[in-house]
Amino acid sequence: MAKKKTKTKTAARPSGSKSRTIKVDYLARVEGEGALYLKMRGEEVLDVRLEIFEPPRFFEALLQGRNFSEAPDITARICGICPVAYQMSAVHAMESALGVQITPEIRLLRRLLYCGEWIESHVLHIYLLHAPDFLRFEGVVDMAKKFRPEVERGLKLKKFGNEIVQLLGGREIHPINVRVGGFHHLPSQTQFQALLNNLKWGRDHAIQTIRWVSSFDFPELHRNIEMVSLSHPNEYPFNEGRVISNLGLNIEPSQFETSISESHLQHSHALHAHINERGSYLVGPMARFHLNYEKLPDLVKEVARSVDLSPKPAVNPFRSIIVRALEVLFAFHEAITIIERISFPTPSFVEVQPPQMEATGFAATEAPRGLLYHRYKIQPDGSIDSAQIIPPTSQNQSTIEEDLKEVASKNHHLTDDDLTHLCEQTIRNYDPCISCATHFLKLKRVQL
Amino acid sequence: MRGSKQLPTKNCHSNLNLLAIGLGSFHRGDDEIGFFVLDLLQKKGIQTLRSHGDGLHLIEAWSDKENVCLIDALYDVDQPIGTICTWDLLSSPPDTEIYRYSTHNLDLNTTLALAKTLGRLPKALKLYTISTRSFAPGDTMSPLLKQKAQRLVQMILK
Repeated sequence: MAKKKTKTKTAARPSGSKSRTIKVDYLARVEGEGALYLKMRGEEVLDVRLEIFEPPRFFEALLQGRNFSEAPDITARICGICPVAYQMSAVHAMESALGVQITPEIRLLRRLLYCGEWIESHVLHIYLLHAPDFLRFEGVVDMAKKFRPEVERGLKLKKFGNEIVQLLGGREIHPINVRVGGFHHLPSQTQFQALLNNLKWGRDHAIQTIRWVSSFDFPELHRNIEMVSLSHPNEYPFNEGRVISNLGLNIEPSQFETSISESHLQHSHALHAHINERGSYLVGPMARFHLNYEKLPDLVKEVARSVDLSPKPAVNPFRSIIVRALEVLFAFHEAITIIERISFPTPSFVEVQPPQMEATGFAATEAPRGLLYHRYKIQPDGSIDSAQIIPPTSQNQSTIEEDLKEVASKNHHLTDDDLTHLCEQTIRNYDPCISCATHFLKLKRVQL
Repeated sequence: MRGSKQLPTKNCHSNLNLLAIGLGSFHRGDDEIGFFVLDLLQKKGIQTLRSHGDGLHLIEAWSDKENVCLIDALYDVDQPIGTICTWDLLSSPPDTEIYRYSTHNLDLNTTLALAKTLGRLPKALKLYTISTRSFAPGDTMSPLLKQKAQRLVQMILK
């Protein structure tokens, strides 16, 4: 069932008035519900608040008392766009608590499943949610009238990501085939190889996507921000690695909560995360790209160079759409590599037993929109005693507010309509998933 | 889905090359009706597909088909429970005022608009709904709707 809602925007600011208020009840083209409050005097932004008013969803409480084996299916329900990320962080945390070593083949197949989710999620955001901002369309339906081949390409790319999740996850949304220790059932080698032709088409057309989005006009914004992502010695990160930053953070996932804290601000139902004694930081494609550039395959690096994209100390968040497209290319490339490399038959899972004594497990994996941290304490009977989940959108909230402050100040001369559009576009740079963070735009601008 | 307007019930397409797409979810009371009707249609040799309502999935499913019908439960406080309604989605889509802010799904009218722009609509596209108010989590489907499903199958196959 759909919910009946209304979307309103205020009229443009009357010329010469001392105060101005902009109101957008709900932000379209992001996942979830929230609002933005902006208070300005001339070019000075006095207050900016990203107000996430979607009610808390209490998933950590829902997990308490459930068996550890249920965590992948329960946490997958947190999000319809990135359920694999929740499943992956959950199973890795459980396996860490239970001392389970998975096989190299299961590890590869988990990376393959993650490839499918990155493709699905990134392509949806690039083509249906974010590109209309740059091309000044109301949405994808209007954009499709002038950019039909591009929209068709996006739908096809997304479909090929869906095919991976469908095959390995059991279904496209909220996969059901993931278990602690591996997978309930593995498709045959023939079924995997049947994906190859489409994946090779996807790899080629991901390059076209990069060239298309890199031709957009990007608003000016240069941010020196601490960027945080996983880092693995040999791979562009999906499922494992240390948590690192460009300003020296270098910790195991188990140390996450000793270095990063969450606080509750009155205006948001999603907790704000910050690095202790330093403050806000950025997770997601930009952070991954800048911290793991050398781990990208030569093909992806070559295409990145061709569109003048390389790791730099300052980033323009509006160019995140190019990085997202690069990660689509990476995901297709990686999926092909995995399918061509994996050996069959392989056991679908390793047996997992409840712990002998109380045990705690930690994991961080790379969801499409950034690092996703899970911690679980498990009792000897296998029941979950406590759970802690820190999603990427919570971690990016403060950084989004800082971006908005700078964007609003630099563009204070714009009409309310244009400034509202630019603020929404700024938020969409992060592909926020408020359902995850708890779920998102009403812009109220007060000009003193 | 939640709707507000209905057209007179009338079936006008044959079941030749028909693809029936059931919308809904299990364990949400009468929201399962779309899937239940599919099971009955499958026994009659009709090609069927379950969908959770993702618009892009629907476009993929129907774009190379000639004759497609969607079956869904309709949250409706105005009509008696079990009322069957039919919409010809190509000529008179429902005035549902649905506006989804979720990126999980395109709403039905946006899906139709995108499919039309892309030239990916089937030649015939109908929506059948059965009115109900029972969507509680964990509930099973009501006997009344199961009974009405038989009538709906007859209408689709007529």
